[in-house]
Amino acid sequence: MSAHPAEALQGLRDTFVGSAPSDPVLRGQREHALERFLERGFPGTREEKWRYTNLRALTRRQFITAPDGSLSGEQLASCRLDDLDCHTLVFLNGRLLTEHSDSSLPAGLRISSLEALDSEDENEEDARPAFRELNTAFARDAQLIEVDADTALAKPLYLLFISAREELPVMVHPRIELVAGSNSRFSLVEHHVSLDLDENLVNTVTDINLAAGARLTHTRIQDASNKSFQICRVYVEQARDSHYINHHICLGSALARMDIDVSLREKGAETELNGLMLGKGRQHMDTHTQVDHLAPHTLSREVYRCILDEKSRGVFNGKVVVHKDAQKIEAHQASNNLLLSEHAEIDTKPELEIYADDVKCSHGATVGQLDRNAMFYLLSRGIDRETARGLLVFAFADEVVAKVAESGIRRAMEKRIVGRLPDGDMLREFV
Amino acid sequence: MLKIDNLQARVEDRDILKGLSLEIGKGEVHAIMGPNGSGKSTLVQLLAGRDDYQVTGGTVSFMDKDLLELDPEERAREGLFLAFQYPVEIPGVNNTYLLKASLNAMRKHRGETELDAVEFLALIRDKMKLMQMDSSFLNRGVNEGFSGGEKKRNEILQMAVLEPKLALLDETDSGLDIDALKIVAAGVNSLRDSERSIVMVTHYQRLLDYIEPDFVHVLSDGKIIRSGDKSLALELERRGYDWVLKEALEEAKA
Repeated sequence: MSAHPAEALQGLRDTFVGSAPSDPVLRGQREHALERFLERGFPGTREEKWRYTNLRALTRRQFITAPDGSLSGEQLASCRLDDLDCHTLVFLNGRLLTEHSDSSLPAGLRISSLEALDSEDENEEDARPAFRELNTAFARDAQLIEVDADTALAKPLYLLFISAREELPVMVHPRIELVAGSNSRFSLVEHHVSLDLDENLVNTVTDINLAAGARLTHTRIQDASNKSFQICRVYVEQARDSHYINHHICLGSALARMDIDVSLREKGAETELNGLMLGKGRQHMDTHTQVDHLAPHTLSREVYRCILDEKSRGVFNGKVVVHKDAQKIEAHQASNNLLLSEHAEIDTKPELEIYADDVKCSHGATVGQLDRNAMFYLLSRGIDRETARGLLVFAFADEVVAKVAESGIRRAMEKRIVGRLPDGDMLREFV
Repeated sequence: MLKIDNLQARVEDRDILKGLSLEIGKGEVHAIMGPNGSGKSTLVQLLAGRDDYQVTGGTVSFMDKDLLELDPEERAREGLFLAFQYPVEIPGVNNTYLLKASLNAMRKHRGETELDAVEFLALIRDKMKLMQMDSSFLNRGVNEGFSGGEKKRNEILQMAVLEPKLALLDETDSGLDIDALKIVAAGVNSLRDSERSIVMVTHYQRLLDYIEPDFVHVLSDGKIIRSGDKSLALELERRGYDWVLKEALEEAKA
């Protein structure tokens, strides 16, 4: 039983006919994914994982696939993070713009287009990888990023996804597969923005595979239009002693849903997930994480913060599964939330399933308002009320960003956060 | 400078100040002492504009303005400064930027030009020397990870930079070892002048060995029950508070 009109799905089928690749094998894979998706449609709120996130607004809409477009240098400059020393790939409505992307890459980093897409969900418990199927059916210019073993790349790879308005809202399905060789060091920055106030659907799938001893920092800045729909799904597979760090700030969208699934498959694998959701108006932001501890001596740490103003709504669900025989693992989770208005709402829930007996797990959730003592302290120093409020909100947000080790990326994130705060101009001199 | 007349205030349903009167002249240093719970901290926080307290009677004028009509940030800009008993940690907000914004808010209010980063840095380095603070303080979050002593020094550093007309020091000596106390006292003493008034709230006479007050008041049960010069503090140190309380009670009966 699906929660959306049949016409919308029929529309998808028509769109597919015009967009699918001509190669019969590839076309077959995609068709298969589409059929699987259409069988059950978008998930509804009766499904546990979607209980707090109603997709009605999204499913009511018609999305087209975007025609090829181009971007002026000025438009690009207005979107990209400045002061970031990096290798860059630029995508407009899902299409790779080679003229704006770096053609030469350092030794040890290879990027190629990915033709065959897999729509199978690694996570057997999740029987509804609806958005992954949809991505598989419609993805264009999917990229395979490979980092060679024993390569330490000094500069991050910066993927800029720009979304632009067409006559009808477009749907964009970015698809990245990243394979990091053993003992490699790499930093990936994903940045999602809109040229204007578009109502597009951006449905990203990122598959990450870390070989033994690989270390990846994955930063994601979602700063898109407040009318857009932003769905993202990250799958991470980790081998022995690998280290994955995810920093995610969610600023834009009418509705955003992030799913991060991490499988710690071998001893010594560690994962750190840090996230910030900053909502106002009627924005709805939802983060679901799942960490599977499949081997002993693995570690996971999650810190999620949510700041909600006006009538915005936040959801955090952090699931940790400690599998049988995964002894001596550590799993820590914190969800700290700030409600700036009496109409804002957060649903936060840790979910622990533990099938081993020698483990260290902790979780904690807090929901609060701005600290009155801190407010009074700033006012007593002659700071006006609006600036004081903004400073305290920024300070709360910054505890997540402060974990970002690379200062160029950290500064870029701070700037984007300040840009989203009321009276951000006044705050600029503080950060 | 400051005139408090028959001030009454409550928190929730509890009366804390019960008709307190006090006058602070220009350039004077006053110490307010008293047992725990007598209302000392309430008084200075209320004067700085904390809105947890409800004023139920009396008046306060500061530089001939009705202080109680002003918001806390306006009071600060008019030249009133509170050194907190428990300075608040605000990680993510830079100590230096806050102080610069604070100083410039006050300069703007007075119609003076704002200081730029270079001018401000020169000023604050000078004041930091006075407070024996090293330059790492410049880059830290407001009071973030500071020890108790560092926080108190930071308060006096702020006072030194902001140069208030009236400084209220709320138990600035608590939690300080003797070396830190000396530094804090030296900072405060360097700011004494004929135009600036200082009110110290303290439990202990120890602070008054280093910052000599012109007047000492005993606050008990929401009222000032005795005033004198610094010898009163010494007597309190020697004899405790009981005798003053008893005398005040007898006077009230008489």
